[in-house]
Amino acid sequence: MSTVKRNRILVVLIIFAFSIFGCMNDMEHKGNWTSPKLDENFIYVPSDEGVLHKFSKINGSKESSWQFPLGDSSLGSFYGEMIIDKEILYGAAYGNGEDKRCQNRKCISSVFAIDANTGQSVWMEESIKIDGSVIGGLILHKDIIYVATSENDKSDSAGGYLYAIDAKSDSDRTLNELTQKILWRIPLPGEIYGTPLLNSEKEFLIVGGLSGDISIIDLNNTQAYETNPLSRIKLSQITNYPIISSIIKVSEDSYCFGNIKGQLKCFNLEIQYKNNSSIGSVNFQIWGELLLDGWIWSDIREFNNYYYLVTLSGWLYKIQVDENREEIKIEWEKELKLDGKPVAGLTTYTYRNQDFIAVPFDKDKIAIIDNVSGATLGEYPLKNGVQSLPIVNDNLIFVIDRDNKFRSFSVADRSQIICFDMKDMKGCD
Amino acid sequence: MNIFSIFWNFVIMKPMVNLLTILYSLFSDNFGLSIIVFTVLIRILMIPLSFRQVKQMIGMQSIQPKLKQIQAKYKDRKDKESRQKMSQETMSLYRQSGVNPVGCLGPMIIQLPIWIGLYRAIFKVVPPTPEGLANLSSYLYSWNPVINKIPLDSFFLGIDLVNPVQQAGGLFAVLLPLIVAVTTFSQQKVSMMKSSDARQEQTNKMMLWMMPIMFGFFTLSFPAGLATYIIFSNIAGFFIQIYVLKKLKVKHSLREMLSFKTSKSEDDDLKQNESFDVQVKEENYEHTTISRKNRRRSNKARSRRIKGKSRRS
Repeated sequence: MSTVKRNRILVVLIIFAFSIFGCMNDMEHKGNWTSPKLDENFIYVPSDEGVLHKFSKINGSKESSWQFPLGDSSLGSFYGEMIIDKEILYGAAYGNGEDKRCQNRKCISSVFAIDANTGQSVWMEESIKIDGSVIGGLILHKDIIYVATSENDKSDSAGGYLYAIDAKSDSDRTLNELTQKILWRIPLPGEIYGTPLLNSEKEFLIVGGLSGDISIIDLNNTQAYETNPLSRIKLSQITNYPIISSIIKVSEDSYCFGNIKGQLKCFNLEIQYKNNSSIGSVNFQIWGELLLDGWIWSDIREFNNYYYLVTLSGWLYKIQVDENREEIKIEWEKELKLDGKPVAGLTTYTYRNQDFIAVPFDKDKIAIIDNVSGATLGEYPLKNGVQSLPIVNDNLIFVIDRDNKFRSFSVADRSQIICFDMKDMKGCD
Repeated sequence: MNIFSIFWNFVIMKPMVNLLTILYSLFSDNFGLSIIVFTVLIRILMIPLSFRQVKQMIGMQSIQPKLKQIQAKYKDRKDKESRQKMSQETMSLYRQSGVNPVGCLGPMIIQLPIWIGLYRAIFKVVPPTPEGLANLSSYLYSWNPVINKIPLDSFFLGIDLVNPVQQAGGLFAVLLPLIVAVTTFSQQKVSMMKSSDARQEQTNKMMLWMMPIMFGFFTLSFPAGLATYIIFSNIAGFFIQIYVLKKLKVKHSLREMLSFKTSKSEDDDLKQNESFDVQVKEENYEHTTISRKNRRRSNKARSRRIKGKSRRS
């Protein structure tokens, strides 16, 4: 009996340990969703450790002195896409503020701007800290960074916020000229996972949220907005289902978005301007809808006048959108039977006049699909999957795998060219 | 995907996640209530397993004196043959009494995936991370109406059920660990059977105090949803155990369960346990059959009386 009782206690402890380990694992923001970023000669790669590394595009060698942040510091986990402009790398990461990954919701995002040559912040601070998590990418427009968040504090009535951050470098400014970096922030109904869409000509942003909300935010500068930033929101249209992927522009006034019900919807925006060129009123009208299989999670890509998207259940679609005839139709669809989910979406590329689609799966390989027929042509060999979007440049495809290894493959024969283990900081197979 | 993960996802996780989300919709989008109802429902569904477990434990208790006798018989004989004989006699005793030595572990092992699934399901439904939200897509059935309510509201009584208890602030940060400890203690107290082995009894007593303190302390870093689950699982478990003991007519009164007697001498304990064992054995293996026979007899007598009356009239 004593053995049985001892075993019983042991079983209870095992159940307890298993369950708690499982739950704690579910609480951690792992990230690893940000793609490598390329400029003319270098590739900037976010690592699982919450730091950025720089590699030569030509031979894949690591720039040993370049790292951000320096030492043992960490920014946390990377989710949104980075941007590079005039040799400055902009991005955001999410952490607990103490050089660690976030273990629950109450964490902060760090928005950074780094000199691509030196690896130093161009601002006084290493990064600008903002509440909430930045899951989507950043938008840079007229020296202002726009970034949308998912609010951590669930007691806050806002689902997320749109921040406007002064992007200008502080290196040429005197102490007196230094002003507050966060210019304004406005609350949005839902949590924001996608990248805001910028209409640079008409100076507005379109943001879709998890409450199914689509917000139009005026970026013009008027006196009224300075005193009341909230009045920048010109439209807050609630649709039925949560929107996670970014909204895309399909023509002058036409836009499309996908939701987690699997609906691809397109709408028109009719905008009336005031005398001071700010937006007066917006008329929103949905003109087309298509039901697809699975959650539309990742961004829809436009390539040679067609739109491509992959749902979380692994269905890949080639879609034609005709806004004049108000028609959305599927050109072809294909179920990709790989392990895991295609959380990163897809990337398109051309090699020897043939167009391809690469779809990475988070627990498997990267599938290669023929753009014309939708046929599977092969795979890029990876063991444990990819969560970030691969980048294609000069007949090479660059990926960061789940094992924190930065790799490149030749698109010609799929052979591996570069492998660098960002944990052990050495080359790998 | 291997067979284990297919079984795990399709048989355990998916039904649990969908039930939890449907309860969320039914209970006016209140995640706290859906956890409570879900926990109690699962506990109720597992009552047959609790019956089996208690029966096996009682059976084990009842054969303890005989087991001791066998052990005493072979106490000084260490040769291989004697060992073999001892294990043969032990096994035949188990067979005769219809007791499986790991019988009380069986139901626990069946419960194991349910417990783990339940814990995991809570955090699958209100994922605190973007990865978790992406994973939720593979758990929800396409017909589940909750899809337009995602992300689900994880607030309950002013606290975010996904955040750790220590971040709940104020009264909750103290109350939740305390309630977890108290309910864990009560649930353990009601489930523990007396052991004839004094050392084991000592270990049981230590565990009775250690586990609640440990659970209470760990609760500080648990998400509040998990604490809610533990509390209501313990409360449901407490009442279910009492119900099971009552149904099986085990003399294990509430007063006795909640008494904190210190152990007497080993002999006293043994005697007390032996008498307890006999009582349990009689009540469960003889009393039940006698009462069934008596019931049958009285039923027959009643039907005879009714027939007689109808003839006379």
